[in-house]
Amino acid sequence: MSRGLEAFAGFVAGLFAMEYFDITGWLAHKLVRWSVRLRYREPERLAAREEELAALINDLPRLFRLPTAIGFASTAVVCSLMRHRRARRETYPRLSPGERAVAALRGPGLVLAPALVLFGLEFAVAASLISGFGVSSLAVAALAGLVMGLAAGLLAVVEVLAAPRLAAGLASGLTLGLLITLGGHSAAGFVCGLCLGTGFGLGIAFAAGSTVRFSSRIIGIALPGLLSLIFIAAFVVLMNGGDPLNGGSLPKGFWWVAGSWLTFGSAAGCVAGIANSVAGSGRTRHPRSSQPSPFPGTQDPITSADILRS
Amino acid sequence: MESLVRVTNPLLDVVEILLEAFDDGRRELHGWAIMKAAARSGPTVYGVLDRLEDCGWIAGRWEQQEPEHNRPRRRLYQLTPTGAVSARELLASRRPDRRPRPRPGLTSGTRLRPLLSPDFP
Repeated sequence: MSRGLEAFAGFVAGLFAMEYFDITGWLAHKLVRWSVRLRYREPERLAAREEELAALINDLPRLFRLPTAIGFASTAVVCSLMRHRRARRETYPRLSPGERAVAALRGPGLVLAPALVLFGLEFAVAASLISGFGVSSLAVAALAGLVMGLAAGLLAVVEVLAAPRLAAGLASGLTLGLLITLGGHSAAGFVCGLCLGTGFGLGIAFAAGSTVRFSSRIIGIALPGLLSLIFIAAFVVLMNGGDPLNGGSLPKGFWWVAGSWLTFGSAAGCVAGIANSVAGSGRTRHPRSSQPSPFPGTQDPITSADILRS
Repeated sequence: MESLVRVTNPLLDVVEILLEAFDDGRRELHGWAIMKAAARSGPTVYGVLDRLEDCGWIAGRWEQQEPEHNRPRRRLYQLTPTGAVSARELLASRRPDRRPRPRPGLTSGTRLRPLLSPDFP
């Protein structure tokens, strides 16, 4: 590097260092104001905290301003999500096991059950492709698309009323259902449709069972990650390996393994989602809140492990 | 006024700081001072302050500042008399063997003072 460039780089670095704290201070104030508005609902407290936290940011050493503001923002996001979740829970009374099952079927299960059917069909198609069962891929893919489209329509009719944000599932479901149906006309399109449909199913399983991550560390963290990896791996294998109908470069056993992983992995995601929805739909408050406390009006501290368990 | 629903370690820390300030001539503390003394992060401390305010354990007031000071005002907190009584009961119940923990560079002199007394083991 020439001396001129070095001098210029030093100048720019110095300028950046000088401006850094001004920028982070400004950003910290903006972040804190946003987080206060997100976190507090009462107008008096909101106004008070807005000014107070602005003063706090001014009090902090310059280096700590942005990290503290990010801390406030992330806490506000968590509080907002928890409030939303609590509000949803409070709309449902405590349910009996039977009612839980019905609620689960009416809620995420409504989406997941057709998805399970779809995955079964996928499995049948994969089996027909590999072992030559003689099942027409066109017919099966068309049926799969029909099931998916119907599921999406049913979702729109029943679920949208309770959860408007799931309305997005309608458009994507119908689109992907159509893709799968049309994909039946060609082998490559069928593979794309298969993968997209599986991805859609997994996405629904994760979105509808958003409380999965609260169930346990294994189901919540490991399983979705594992399923995503399986899905991605299967997708890559299917797309890179060639056309399975017309004979790809890889042996048939490979397709069998890939298809099985894809199908069973997806199905496991659905089962996890359903199990979670059944287990979580009837709980309206923290289980430890019913324990007696030695101090009147209080209860034991809730640890992060408790939150993960709940 | 709501009851104190959850008692957590950060809450006990903040209550302890506020009680020390209350006993030390009813001093008022602002958020940054509490954060430094309790060695807790801002969101944690303000979450606790929210809960204590909801319970009526603490009262806050805006600091008086000159009109020419063009900066946001700090809010100063102090335990209410009833809050001080409840805080004492809570700490006696939850931290019966509590003793001041020295935190060099992060604490006010009041927390170190008992360490210098001849009775301290």
